[in-house]
Amino acid sequence: MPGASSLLLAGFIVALVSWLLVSAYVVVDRFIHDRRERHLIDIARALTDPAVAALPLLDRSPAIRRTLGGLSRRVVYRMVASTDFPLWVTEIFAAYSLEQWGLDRMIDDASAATSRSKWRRVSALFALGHIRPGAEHALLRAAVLDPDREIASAAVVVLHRIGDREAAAILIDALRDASLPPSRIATHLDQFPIPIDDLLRPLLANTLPAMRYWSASLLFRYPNANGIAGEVAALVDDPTPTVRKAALVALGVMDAEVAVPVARRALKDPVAYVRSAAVRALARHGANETDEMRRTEFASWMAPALADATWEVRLAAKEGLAQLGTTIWRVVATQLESADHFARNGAAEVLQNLGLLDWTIQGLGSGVAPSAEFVRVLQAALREGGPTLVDAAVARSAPESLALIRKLAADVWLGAPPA
Amino acid sequence: MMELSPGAALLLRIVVVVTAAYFVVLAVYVLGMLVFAMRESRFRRRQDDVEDYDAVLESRYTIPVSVIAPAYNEEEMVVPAIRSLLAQSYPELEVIVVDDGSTDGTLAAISAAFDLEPRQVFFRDILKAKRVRMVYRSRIDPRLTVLVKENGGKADALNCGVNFARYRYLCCVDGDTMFAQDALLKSMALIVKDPAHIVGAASLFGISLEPELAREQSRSAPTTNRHLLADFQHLDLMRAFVAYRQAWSRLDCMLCVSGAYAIWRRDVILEMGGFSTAFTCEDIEMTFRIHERYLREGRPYRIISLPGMVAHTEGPRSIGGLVSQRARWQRVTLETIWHYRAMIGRVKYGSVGLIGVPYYVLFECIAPIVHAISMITLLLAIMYGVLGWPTYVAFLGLMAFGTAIPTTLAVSLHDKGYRDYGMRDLLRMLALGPLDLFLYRPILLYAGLRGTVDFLRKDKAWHKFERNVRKRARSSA
Repeated sequence: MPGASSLLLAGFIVALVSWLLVSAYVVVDRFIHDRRERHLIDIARALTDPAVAALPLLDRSPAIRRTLGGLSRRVVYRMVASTDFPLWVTEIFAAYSLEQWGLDRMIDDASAATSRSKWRRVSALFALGHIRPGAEHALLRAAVLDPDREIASAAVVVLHRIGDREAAAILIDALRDASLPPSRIATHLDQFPIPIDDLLRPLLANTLPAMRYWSASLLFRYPNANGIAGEVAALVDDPTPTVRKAALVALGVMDAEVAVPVARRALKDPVAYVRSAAVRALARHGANETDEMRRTEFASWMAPALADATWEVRLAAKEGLAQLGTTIWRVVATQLESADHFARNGAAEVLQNLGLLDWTIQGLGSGVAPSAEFVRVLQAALREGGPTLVDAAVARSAPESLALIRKLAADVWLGAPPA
Repeated sequence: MMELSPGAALLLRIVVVVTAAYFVVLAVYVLGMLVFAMRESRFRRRQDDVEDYDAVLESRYTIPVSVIAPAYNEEEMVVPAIRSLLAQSYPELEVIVVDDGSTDGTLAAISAAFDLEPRQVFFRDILKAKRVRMVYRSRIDPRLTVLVKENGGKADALNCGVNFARYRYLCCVDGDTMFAQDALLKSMALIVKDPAHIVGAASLFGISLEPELAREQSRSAPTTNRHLLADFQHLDLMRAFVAYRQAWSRLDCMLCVSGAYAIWRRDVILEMGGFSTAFTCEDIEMTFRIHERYLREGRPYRIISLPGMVAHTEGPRSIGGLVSQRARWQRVTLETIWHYRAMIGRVKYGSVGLIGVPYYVLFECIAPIVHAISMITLLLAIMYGVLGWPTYVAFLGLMAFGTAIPTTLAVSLHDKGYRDYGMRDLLRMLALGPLDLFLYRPILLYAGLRGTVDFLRKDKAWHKFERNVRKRARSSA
């Protein structure tokens, strides 16, 4: 195959040269990156020098202009928008962009109509967020509603950094109108640098369920705002279940006088995740109660949820009851006699998690006789918890208690030892 | 020079031409993949640049995740792996370690490190799985739960963990892998941008001989190991993950969400009926199953590839261990492709049926056989004078440097993303590229053939390679 030989030789040479070129590119690219990193360290050193703090950013060190001078607009822009760098670095790059290319060009880059690429637009938005020329809010409002999620997402980050009321208002509007998932916007509103409860409150009565949901959810951060609990509590009767849930979550940290009665009412909600939120709200308030009687009262409201048809609610009840502490054990123990299987084994699990079983076993093992009521509860819990609960209790117990647990367990299973 | 009959010579020429055509198609495919990979990688880097991870980290709206880590006889690695999971910078997660009936000291090691106490916990029994013998909670970190169950294999252990999981997203991981501190944060930051459609996410992980050292030494990762076999494995993974999977992600035909670190939406896993125990490995099969179901039913969905390196897993130090591992991978691929062969070339399966699955068939399933035939053919062609030695040398050179180009580009993509190679390591990685054909590919070829034979024999065993001997253990001995 004579033709093949020269073809393969040519292919070999092409492959070799290509490999060398690509390898050289990798090394050079890395070298440039490392040099840039070293320059950034120089700049950082210069900026921390108090002697030059009064000078404009770009004039604080010759290293700044020396480093920036060799960079293309693409590179400078990319660094302006990078969240990997500390803010002082991106601020320098923004100042340099302004000096080098002028405000008009940056505004053009940040506008949908005139920007040449989406990443250039993103970078220009970040730069304008630093410079704050006055036009940034309008540009960011347009960007946050852009159908491109990367642009919208970047605009959200910049608005959060700007952190003024106008930025907050834009973000709140975007909850309704943006192409981004609202939770992305809510993430930034939730951590907004200034209080925004007065902007969120009117939305509790918004006609759109999504806006009512987000306002209730975001008001979680302002539990002590005047009269807020009452307004949020009104949403527990909202026709949209997600709104009811958000309201209950927020009420978990708000005024108990208002929150507890509505949360109790929500325990009968037809939607499982609303009932679950109600149980958790009650658990939060119950755990804050110092009065034991009052805690027991909370437990009596929550304990029937152990028999709920939905696992999510039963889990909330188990975790919530365990948060209320050992003093509520009698309320939980009553569920051991429930007709519902879930309630019985859920109660056994809660009693285990409250430490009551171990306490009773230890008492019996050390010769201190717990009351007959305790022993009855222990036996019922062992019965409802099943062999695994017994095995777990055995494994947790001190050696002197082992024989006793086995005897109790044997009594429970009419003489048959647990597996 | 030996003589060939005219018929045999013609046959030999035809085989040479067919094999050459195969490699040309492969080269075109790989180049195409690299173009897509570079575009995707650039896009992801820009996306990563502007992402405000601090806000996501602090947010109440970041979706909680249930991490499920099956472990079978992992006493050496399981504790550092759990530590790396519990050290995640993530607002809310639970870690469910499923001890799949280990016969070594796995449970004792976890118990000693995390002060476990046994508990009865009633949980949903939605997916079928072997019986849970005991549930343990950590007294040190309440986010950690350990389920001890009867042995049923990794898929069964995952199903058991899914039953126990309480959150909407599952992160299924291997119990012998070290995870980067920001693995979950970066993964979920990407997923929550489109939670309605993204049902799964594949990841990129590195190979290390002793991955736990990375954490102990507070380094980001031991990117290279200064060990020839480990470095070739590293390059192999860079090609597979950094390059090709990025391309598949961009083309919406990501076909393997690796079990070492996979994020799934829980409702999707439940809808699929859980992980299948009928296959040797559960990860690739689940990925295929989701594609098949969603595409057949015309439902919108996406399975993406995460751009960042999330973990380091242990790679075999010995050739025997590597062969065993890769033979299993080949067998798993064949099992899955055979099961889902109806998807090949079908328009209704979109890029999965037209690009992804054909790739697997052509360049994974039958590759060992084609490579073996091509080697034999070339030898025969030289023996019988159909090809001369210079031609053969030129061919080898073309193959060596041609296959080194994708490797070099993968190294470049990795370096641009992480900058965690030292300059010496970077040069070493580049230099190893052309040697891959001579020193590493023959091992993979043998492993591929062995895996193919195992598949034909319907072998389903895991053939786990023995743990590498630890330097620490040696020095303390």
